[in-house]
Amino acid sequence: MSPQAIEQAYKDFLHQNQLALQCCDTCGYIRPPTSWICPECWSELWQWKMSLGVGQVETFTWFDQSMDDRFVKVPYSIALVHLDEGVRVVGNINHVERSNLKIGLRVVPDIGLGYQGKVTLRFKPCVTS
Amino acid sequence: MSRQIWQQNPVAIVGVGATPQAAHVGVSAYQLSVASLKLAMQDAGIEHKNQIHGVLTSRQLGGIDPIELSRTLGMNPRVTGDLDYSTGGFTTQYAAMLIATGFCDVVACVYGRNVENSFGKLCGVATYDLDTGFVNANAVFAMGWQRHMQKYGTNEKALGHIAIAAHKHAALNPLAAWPQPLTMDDYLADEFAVWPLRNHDIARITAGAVTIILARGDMAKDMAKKPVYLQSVGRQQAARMYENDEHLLCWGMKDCAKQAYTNIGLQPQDIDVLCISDACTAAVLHTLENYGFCGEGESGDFVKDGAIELGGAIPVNPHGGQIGEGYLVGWLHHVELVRQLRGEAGSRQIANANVAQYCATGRQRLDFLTSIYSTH
Repeated sequence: MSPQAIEQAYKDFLHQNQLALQCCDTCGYIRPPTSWICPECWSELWQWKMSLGVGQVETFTWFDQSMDDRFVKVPYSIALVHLDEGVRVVGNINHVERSNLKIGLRVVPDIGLGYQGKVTLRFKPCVTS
Repeated sequence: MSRQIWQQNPVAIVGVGATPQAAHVGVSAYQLSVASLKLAMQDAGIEHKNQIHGVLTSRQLGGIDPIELSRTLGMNPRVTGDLDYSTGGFTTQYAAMLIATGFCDVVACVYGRNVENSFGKLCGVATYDLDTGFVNANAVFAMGWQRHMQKYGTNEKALGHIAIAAHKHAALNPLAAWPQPLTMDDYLADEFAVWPLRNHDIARITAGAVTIILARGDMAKDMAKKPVYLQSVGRQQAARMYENDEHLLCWGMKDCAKQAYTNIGLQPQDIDVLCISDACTAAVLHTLENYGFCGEGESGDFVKDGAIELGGAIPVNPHGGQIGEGYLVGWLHHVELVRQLRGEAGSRQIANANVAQYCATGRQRLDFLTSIYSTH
């Protein structure tokens, strides 16, 4: 598969409300971001593995000011989420009170339309505050 | 690790020139660049353009093209080159390689920028992910310091001490754009930009230019000023980014430190002048820890009593850095370390400054570089 086709397949899964990760057939390494080759062992054989998308916030920030003219609606949060599969992804945390967003917060996917109007992987607290 | 080539074939900075950091309305980046080049040539005692064999520039953040600069100045340099990402030492290291390997005897590194209507705006323009709004390099610093506070129990005041020192030092630098004093009360009263970073934590965009001229060591001895020799370089990329544990705490710097120090048998305690590329205050704290100027997680305590200020244990950015002087992505730091090592820094001169170190933190915490210089 071409890199573009892999990325499109990932997006198609998101549309179906599923977080798909690539799992290397040769060494078992799980990757995001999507790639045609395993960054660990360079194998090009892999399969999709559906993730529950559950993880915890490793760190985060709040954009209190607009730092970019394309994103003027503030505040919004960005977090580094450590998924239970052992990999990290960056995403927004939605549906969270400011005082409740902390390192270690357990989160689940909240897949929906992002700032670009495209389907995007975002997260929300396991128990909505 | 094997010896680095400049240990066999010495390379020195022989001339530096910098324009004031200001708005410079209506002046192009090329005009500023040429002004700095003339200053650096004068500083080095280089009288004719044909004595320069290499012209290196940076395209970063509205920088300049080396061919266009050369053509404008009627030069046919043996080598031109540019880097897309060149925070300070990357370009001088490239120049040093050209000299130590025998391609050029004298290389001018030139960087100028003047992006219209940007003076005074917070720096850090970058796009990581449009769908989530993950933009601006300071968001990466913010997540890193948040992680640090949680892991080590540090706080926001540590950042404030960095900003305060930067402005205090800038007040002693006539070229600085932001010499206004800052108190901890002012700092804590400031608005957040990307939490936990406030406006005062982030460098503001300035226009200006810098030229750094390097030459072969044996030629440098006969030039106008005391040569400042490149002694050692450390480089480490962290291209796997978030796959690396604690990527946002800049642990890749530790490899840089090891390379640079062990290569010449030095330790952090041997450094007299420390210049850290400080697009954000947090960069200084991560650098102090990862290079071993203080222990892991201890930077907040280390900076609270003036250790990084002039007269302290290890003065950092005596020119004010990017927060105090202006945002030329680490290039001005080289001008400062040269002036300090030559004893030309006036009211901000560090006594007995013999060894200087520059450290850079780049982009999404993936470009780490350090270089160590001395006058002998």
